[in-house]
Amino acid sequence: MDKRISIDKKRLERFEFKSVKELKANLETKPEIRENLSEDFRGTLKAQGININEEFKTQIRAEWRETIKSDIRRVADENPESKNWYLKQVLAEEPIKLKVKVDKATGTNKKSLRRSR
Amino acid sequence: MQTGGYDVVAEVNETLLNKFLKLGHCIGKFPVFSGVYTLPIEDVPESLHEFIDIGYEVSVNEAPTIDFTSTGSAVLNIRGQCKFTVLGGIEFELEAEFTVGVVPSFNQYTRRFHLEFVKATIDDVELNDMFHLPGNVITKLNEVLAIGMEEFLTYDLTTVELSPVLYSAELPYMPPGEANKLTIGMGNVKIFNNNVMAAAANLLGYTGGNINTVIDFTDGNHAGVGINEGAMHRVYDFWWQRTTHPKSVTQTGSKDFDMPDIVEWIDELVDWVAAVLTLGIVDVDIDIDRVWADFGATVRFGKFNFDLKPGNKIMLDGSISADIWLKAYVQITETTELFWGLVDVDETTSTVNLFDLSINGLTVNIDSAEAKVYLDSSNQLTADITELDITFPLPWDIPEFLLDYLVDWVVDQIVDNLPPLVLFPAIFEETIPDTSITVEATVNKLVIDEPEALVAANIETSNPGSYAPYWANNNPESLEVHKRDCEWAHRMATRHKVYYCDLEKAFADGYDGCAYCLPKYHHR
Repeated sequence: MDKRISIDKKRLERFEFKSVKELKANLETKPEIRENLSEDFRGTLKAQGININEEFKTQIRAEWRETIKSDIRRVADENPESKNWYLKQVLAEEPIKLKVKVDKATGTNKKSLRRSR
Repeated sequence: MQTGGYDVVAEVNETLLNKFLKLGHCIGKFPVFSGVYTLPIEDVPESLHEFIDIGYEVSVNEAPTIDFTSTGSAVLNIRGQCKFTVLGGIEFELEAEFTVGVVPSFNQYTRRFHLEFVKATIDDVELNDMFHLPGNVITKLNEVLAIGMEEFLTYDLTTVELSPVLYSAELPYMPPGEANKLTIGMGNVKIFNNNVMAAAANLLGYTGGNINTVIDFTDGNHAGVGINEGAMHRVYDFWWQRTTHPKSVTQTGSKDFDMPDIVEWIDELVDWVAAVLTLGIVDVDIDIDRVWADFGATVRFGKFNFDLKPGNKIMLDGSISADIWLKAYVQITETTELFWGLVDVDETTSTVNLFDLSINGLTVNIDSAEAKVYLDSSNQLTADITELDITFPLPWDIPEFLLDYLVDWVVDQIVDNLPPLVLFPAIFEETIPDTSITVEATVNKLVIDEPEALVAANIETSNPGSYAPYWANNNPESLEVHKRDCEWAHRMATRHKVYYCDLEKAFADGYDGCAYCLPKYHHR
């Protein structure tokens, strides 16, 4: 798979990385920071007072995961027709209940969701 | 219930026993015996002793036949050939018919029927009386013959073991040793309806059953074996405690996801990667090179509960404990070097670990499963699961293409690695101990009902070439008969081989004895 994609910066606004919130605000008023970031990302962050230490990484990672979780729920909600997603069961905090039909001749196991009773 | 509450009931038709009596005669189960009978006359001078000794040599010259009676007993009809030597050297030959009272029984150690000889009585004598002996001499010889045959048939040759091994004591996937074989205790034996005999046995120390309620379930087949559901549970418990079959399995896998798999998530995947690479503060273009997951599971199986159902089915349920892990990655090539330390970096690509999840001891329930029961190629009662209802409480909220693939993969590992449901040892073993004869059972009936499984089959033995003691060559240029271990027997073309159990029959058919292995009978 080789797919080139341009990032839509607007879409990234939902990631609320609090540690860089002030820097994001500064980008609007100081365009040179954006240029500096492109040339030396880590150095510019440091110059802006952002220390990339373990505490910083942990916080970023946690915030990132939170957004991923929220995205997953949103995508699932946007696809109501996808009734058979196991994900729907997980998001509803229900176990995945499956019916499996075993076809020994072909060696395949056909799976389908069972309705919860 | 046709097995009368016993664990296992083996039934044989007298047709099969007669078939095996014939086979037993052919392979020498009824050996020639000889001896000297001293007439009970007192004060005979030593110089005359040889005149009161009667030498005898008796052989069973035709295959005996067994007959079950309506009163529940059994008799064996034997035609014997006898040779007497009297008065120090005069020989008489005669044929005699005997009826031998037999007690059929079942040997739980060999799992075969056998006949115990209890009383032999002479029915008819045909004496080759070239000496025109007086009647009282004939009467005396008859007495000697009767005594000799009775001794032979009730003392020297007390039992004949018959029938194939009806079921094994060994279960599959067990460690060696007697302690890991089933212990089989005899219950009772019964003859019913003139031609079928049943032997009821119990397993693993169980006691119970009523022979009077055992029913003939052979349906005209040579043999049948009925197994009570209670026995299957005990066998399965015994097997499960001891088996060497793996009860857990660890598997790993890797999967590359292409565009159709991820199409509904492509925007989110790009956002997630870009967000963590740029912290949302720099514009970039990226190439998504690869989306993939590495995963694995250790699945530990528990013992199933099962229940026989009509229609050759078994219903099962049970639970499985699973440790599952998943690492999902996106690899990208970016146009701007932005790395700040959260991701692994090489010169051209970045790999973002989207998900790194693991869960230990997840209980996966098999709420119910249906299995079809049949006898496999080794006559093992086998249950193949055809349908399962599984509850899989994996709580991971990950994109559905990952979750679906992982759940399906773990379910495949569970289904494909389920330990077998060992219900009973092999039925109708394929060899007859201490012989080169093999047995093939054609199963004509397999009925699983709520309390028991009933199997009935016709039994065929291997070609006489595998056991007949004499091989004749019907090539017109030969027409000789050989012992089976004669090297000339093994040189003849298969198409010319004719097998004989009895040398006399071969001679009667016009064959001459081989000069090498049967020189006494070589006349050409």
